[in-house]
Amino acid sequence: MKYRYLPHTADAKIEAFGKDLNELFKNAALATYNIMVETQKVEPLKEIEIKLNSESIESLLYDWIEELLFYLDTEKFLINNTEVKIKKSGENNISLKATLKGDRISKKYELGGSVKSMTYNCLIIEKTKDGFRTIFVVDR
Amino acid sequence: MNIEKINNYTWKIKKEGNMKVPGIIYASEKILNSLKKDKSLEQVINVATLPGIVNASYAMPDAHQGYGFCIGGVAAFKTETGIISPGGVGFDINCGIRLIKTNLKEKDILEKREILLKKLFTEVPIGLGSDGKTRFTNEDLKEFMIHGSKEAVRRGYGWDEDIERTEEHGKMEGADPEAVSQRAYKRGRPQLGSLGAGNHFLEIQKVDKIFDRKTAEIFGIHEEGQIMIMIHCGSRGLGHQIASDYIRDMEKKYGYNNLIDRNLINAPLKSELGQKYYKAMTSAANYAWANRQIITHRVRETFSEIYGKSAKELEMDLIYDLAHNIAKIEKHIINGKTTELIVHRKGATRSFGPIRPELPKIYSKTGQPVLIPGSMGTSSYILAGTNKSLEMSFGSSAHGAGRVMSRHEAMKSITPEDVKKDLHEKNIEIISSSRNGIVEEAPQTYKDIDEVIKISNEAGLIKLVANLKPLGVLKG
Repeated sequence: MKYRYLPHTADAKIEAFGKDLNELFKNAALATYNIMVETQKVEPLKEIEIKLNSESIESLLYDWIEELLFYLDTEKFLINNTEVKIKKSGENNISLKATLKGDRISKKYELGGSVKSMTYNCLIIEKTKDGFRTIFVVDR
Repeated sequence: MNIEKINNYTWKIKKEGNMKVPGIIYASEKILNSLKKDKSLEQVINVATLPGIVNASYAMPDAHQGYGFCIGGVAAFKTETGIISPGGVGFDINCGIRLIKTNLKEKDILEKREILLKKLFTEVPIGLGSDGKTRFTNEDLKEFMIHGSKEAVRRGYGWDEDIERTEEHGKMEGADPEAVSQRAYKRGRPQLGSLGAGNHFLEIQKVDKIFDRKTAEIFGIHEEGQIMIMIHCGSRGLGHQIASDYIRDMEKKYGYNNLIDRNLINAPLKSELGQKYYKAMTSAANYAWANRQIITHRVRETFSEIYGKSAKELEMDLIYDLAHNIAKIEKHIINGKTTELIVHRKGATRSFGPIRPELPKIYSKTGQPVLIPGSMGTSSYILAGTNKSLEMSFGSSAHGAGRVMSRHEAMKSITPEDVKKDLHEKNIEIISSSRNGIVEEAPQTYKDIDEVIKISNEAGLIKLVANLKPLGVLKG
């Protein structure tokens, strides 16, 4: 399983998995976007490069989802897929490089609900026997 | 947790541990029990531990779990020693409600409902990724952030009389667009004049019942069947970005390892960062007022075109516009002494009674209009603020019905066709930019608004004036 939605009354609680952090962050992004559109149906016509630096892995996930929402608002960008590379470059410095592949919002795509913001609610990232798992809540 | 019953609608969480004040919950026993099932009460307690808090940490009758602060949460801090918290305001800064009256009757709407809804849907941009119809520059945006509704009216989006019928006259003092990041400009600039998605809506409603004719008359509500237009939206991506920016800035400055909940991050109001957030938040609040003012203009134009009369002839006056996600500097009496406070209302509506000087002259005898929407198939309410609420909750009340079913659960158990059919049978038509939007906001996913209003009224937070039933709904 890549991700699933857990019960939450007002917002969306996401549980995502990955064999490593790269895959974990990719699946977290797909889970967030699938609230808004079926990402599989989005054509990978455009690319956006993203670079982020954060002090912890939890903060990096927060910044990552916020960055996606920034491009949703400013470029109307829907993702089909993404490649993520995470690197620890110091005690309190983790960097992320990613390529978002997707297309602009248009009549081609049936849109679902909206996501307003990332939050720290219930946010965990932990190692499992198969890799990594995260739980986080996005504000709807 | 030690909960004491004060009366049928008031519950007190006694002060213990690090709590600086008690928690006060305005709820029926039934609602209190539902609050025990999620983290709402824990969040009320956590807020009670924050520096400078006075009186109590409050939860309104529509409270539910939020981030750091519960939704339906009210907390006030001394401006001298207290804090300001982006989580106590919410991501959608100055999300709020606006109500416009008309002299149209139900039959006027029914005759033209389809064409009216379709035209509104093209004139008021709505849904995920929607932008306003006018392109603004960053310089324009700055003017809107400083002057709010006043700037919108100055540019022809509305009438002078709209200003005094808007909380804060549509312009909070102290805004500084320099405190707003370029990322927030980039998100907010194209979206000005759009409604957005999620629980935001535009509804055509009819007055269903008038409970207090004298007050209703002063508000501009003359008879059952009179048509009103309700708008619910906020500061769009601009507000979200400001919240997010300052949450991260405060974390970097103050750290978060000592916080009970990372979402409670805050800064002393008088600190440099606290002041900067206040200036940015105020900028977003003014943007939101300008946003609802521009939408009002589009609504008036549309009605005018469809009914072949000017908006003035249709008597499309603003009844009121209020914020329900905001932090404001207000003076209240604490232990017999007038004290300056920063009052956080997160998913809570100001409900000032007649004694408050902030009220416009026209409402100085009635108290301010308090507008509380239900879910899309149910009633919305027009109420009046009370002097009693000033002692109970710094003059605050509920803001809506509050969800009971998750959107995800709704998607599994309800279809858009079911919802449309149900609404159609109740004589409500809906247009939505997405199939999911209809399902996610289906009436059965919300608490019973009538119960929330009953508690608010009997507890004394508000006074009943009238209720409204929807005839047409536009959703994101």
